[in-house]
Amino acid sequence: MHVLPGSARPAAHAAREGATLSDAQSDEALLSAYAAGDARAFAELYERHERPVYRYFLRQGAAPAQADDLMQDTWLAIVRHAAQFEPRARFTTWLYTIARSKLVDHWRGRDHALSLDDAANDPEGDSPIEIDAGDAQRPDVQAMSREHARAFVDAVERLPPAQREAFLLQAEGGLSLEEIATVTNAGHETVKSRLRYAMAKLRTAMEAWQ
Amino acid sequence: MSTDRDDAPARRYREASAALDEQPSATTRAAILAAAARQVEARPKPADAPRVAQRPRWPLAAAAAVLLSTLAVMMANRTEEEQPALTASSERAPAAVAITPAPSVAASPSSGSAEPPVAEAPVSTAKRPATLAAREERSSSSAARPERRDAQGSDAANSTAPVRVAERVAEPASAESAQGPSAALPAAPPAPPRAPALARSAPAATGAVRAPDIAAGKPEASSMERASAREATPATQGVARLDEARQFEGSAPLWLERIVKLRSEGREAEADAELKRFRERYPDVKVPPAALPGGTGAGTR
Repeated sequence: MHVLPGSARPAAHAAREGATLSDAQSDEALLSAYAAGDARAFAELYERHERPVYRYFLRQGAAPAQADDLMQDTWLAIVRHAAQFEPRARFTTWLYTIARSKLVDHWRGRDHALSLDDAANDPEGDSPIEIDAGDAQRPDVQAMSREHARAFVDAVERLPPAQREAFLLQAEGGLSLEEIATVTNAGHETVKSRLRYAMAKLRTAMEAWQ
Repeated sequence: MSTDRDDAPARRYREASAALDEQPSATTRAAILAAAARQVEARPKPADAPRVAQRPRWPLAAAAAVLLSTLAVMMANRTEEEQPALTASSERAPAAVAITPAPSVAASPSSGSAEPPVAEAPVSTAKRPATLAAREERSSSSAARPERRDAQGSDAANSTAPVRVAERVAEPASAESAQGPSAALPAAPPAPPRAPALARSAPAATGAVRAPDIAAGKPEASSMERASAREATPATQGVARLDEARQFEGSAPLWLERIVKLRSEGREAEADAELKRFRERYPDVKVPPAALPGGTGAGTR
């Protein structure tokens, strides 16, 4: 498990003493400050991770309303257990572990056909993803348009679940291989392989815009 | 570990996500932040956090102040109401004791038909000194009072306190003016087998003022007259009866005389009650027929 270079305690004390919250404060420091009673620290923490976690749920197949519910479940769990957070672990690892757990519970409750833990849904040699580039192929489109973005996101969503999950944990949560392995309860090499396949497919899809 | 080429899809994905601008609903956001704030408020604060004492608590303090003020006013009113009763009893008691003529009970103790003494006697001459003396006595007799309470019990002491004050004020006056048997008090009678403690308590209960009279050996029957005189005082009648009953309980003969007297006055119910208590107190003392139910004999012994 990843160990932080410094303790979060001094930052928590600083937050308690009314120090200005800034981006310089680590997630762990903000969570410790919140556990010490600083509600502003939680707001800052939530602001940082709100959209990535929400998108993580959306990309994993949740509808917007379901993603809202999952957001509430995840963040309320963090609120309840903030005092039990171990400062040596990275906050994002803990956050996405909870988020994944909520998502698995969500699909399990709905008897979803696809399970993130199902090894059968991890076809490593899957066929390449076909991406509808649309207007993105036009040379006059310089910036990524909304349609172009939607097309790329659709390509991500069409990845096999395990590859998609590994990719999202890296792209949205910024987790390392070890952290992804921890969150997904998979081996390091397994995660590395899933990521390699996912990247290859997405690169192929990207070439459509080049 | 990773090159730019490896990171390209992730970077591209982040750009695409930013372009889509997906975010949870405002309701979800508000609910999460509100829950976090509630959790902070509900969580126990660390020792160095600002304490709840900073929160204004004046409503509680105001309510307590109002309650205490109300209680103080009620107690003051009650004290003022009791004050005239004390004064009245101390005014009337000496008059009754001093003016009541030497009773027929003393002359003929067997006379059960003795008329109750005059209740309302003119006391204009003795009124003011007695009242003043009563106040002085009340303020200075705090040392003697615990002794009386020990002897008679706290309940009786509380309920008969005004009468006792009146008695103690009245006795010197009656001793000076009347010098008669009406001022005399019951001497300690020969105690029955179980009565020693009670017999000892009787003199103690009368207080230091009565000691000379007891030593002088005044007739026992005169206490009946005093008791009757006090009974007739309207202001203190109910309380005086209770006090008398306590006195009689200390002496078996006096108690029997009282029972006989009650029967002679036709107060059978009271006599029965007294007899019942007498037998509980003095189970070995023989009760004369006149004191038994239906026995309306004139004398007891």
